[in-house]
Amino acid sequence: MTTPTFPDATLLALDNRPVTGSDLLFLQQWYDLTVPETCYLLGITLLRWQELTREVGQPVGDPGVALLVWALLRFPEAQYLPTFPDPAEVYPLYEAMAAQSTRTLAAKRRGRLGKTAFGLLLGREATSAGRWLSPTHSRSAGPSVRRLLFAFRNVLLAHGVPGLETWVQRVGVEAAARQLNLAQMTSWFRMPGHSNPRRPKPSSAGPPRPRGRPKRRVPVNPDESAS
Amino acid sequence: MSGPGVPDARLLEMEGRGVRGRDVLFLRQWFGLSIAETCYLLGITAPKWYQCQHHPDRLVEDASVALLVWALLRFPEAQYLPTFPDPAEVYPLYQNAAERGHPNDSQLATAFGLLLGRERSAPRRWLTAENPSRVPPTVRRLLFALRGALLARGVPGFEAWIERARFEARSRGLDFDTMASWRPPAPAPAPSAATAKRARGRPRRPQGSAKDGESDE
Repeated sequence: MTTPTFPDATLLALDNRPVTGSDLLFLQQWYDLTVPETCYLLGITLLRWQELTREVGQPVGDPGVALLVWALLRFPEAQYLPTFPDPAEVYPLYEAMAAQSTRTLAAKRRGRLGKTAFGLLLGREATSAGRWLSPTHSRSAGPSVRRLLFAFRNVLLAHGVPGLETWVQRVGVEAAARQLNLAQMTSWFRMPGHSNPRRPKPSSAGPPRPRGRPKRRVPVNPDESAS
Repeated sequence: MSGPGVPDARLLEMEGRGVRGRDVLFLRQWFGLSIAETCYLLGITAPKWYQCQHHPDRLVEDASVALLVWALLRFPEAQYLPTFPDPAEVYPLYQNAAERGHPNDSQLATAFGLLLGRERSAPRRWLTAENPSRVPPTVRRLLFALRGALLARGVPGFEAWIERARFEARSRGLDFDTMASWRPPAPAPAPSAATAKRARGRPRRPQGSAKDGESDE
């Protein structure tokens, strides 16, 4: 949800026509928002969003929403959505703090806090950071992680190394509450060498179902079935 | 949605336990947010919210959300929600711009509510000292935008806003300078035959009609 450049309202020719449902969709696409995020932007419910965008060519009935869309497209100073950082923006700061910290994710693990710990400290897999930070095929982080990155960055900026250590300690508490060991875990859903502790297989479960589309039944010879 | 102070996480005794559904509910109440606003705050969908609401004693399943709740309750610098102004904060800016731009326009002097997509009389309810009425979420956001435009652009920004409000009113068949509300004008009276009074309630059964399966025949 990094704020892109400000759209040029003149391109939309908004000055000579009322705001329509298509302008709402444009706003959503321009700022790369999800539908719930756009609802927050405009202060409307999901139901209202669906009403307003059902017929995209129709003028927006609510004058408050119409004026707000116009103002957001017209004035850069009218923007109020926060800009959440990418993992690549926060990682160097984290790396610098981690280099100063004596803390490691676990005594047995070699090396200091690094890429592996970065994913776990943000509530994701140990391998997530590799995907987020890949220079060629980087994958975007989810909405909760983007927000957490905002909080993490500001905690590091405001509190420095002690802030990082408080964060690591908290991650340990959350892991322990899930019967996970921060020293060994690679994921928030399972421990290495263990089955998923939070999603046990029901004892009543039968044999595994074959994967894929069920095979077509062999047609029964009507003569044989009749006999 | 003015942000209150950050709650003391020690009061919640969060240090020794994982974040639970009730902590998410507490976060919402503390910051005075709607459900939609809480979903935005945590980057979650409505079903995930309801999961927290229905299982307050269960651990928050998503570790990222759990850490986010803890960080928001623990660190003031982790906050990122915008603080939308009250009408009372923006009204003096509006008044100033109206007096400077249109000193003798009595209609414009009372157009604050209309410029925010509401009735002309709405500010009286918002600005009253005792029990001011709740300002809708869209209006809070418009107040933010209007304040930004007035502070950054002064009277020209105010003029642009009025022109836009006039245009939106015209496109709804309204005259901004005389209207009291954004409600569309009443439709023209229909032909007399159609305006004939319809009887209220369920239409009467015609005389001699079948009743409970009985037939006329």
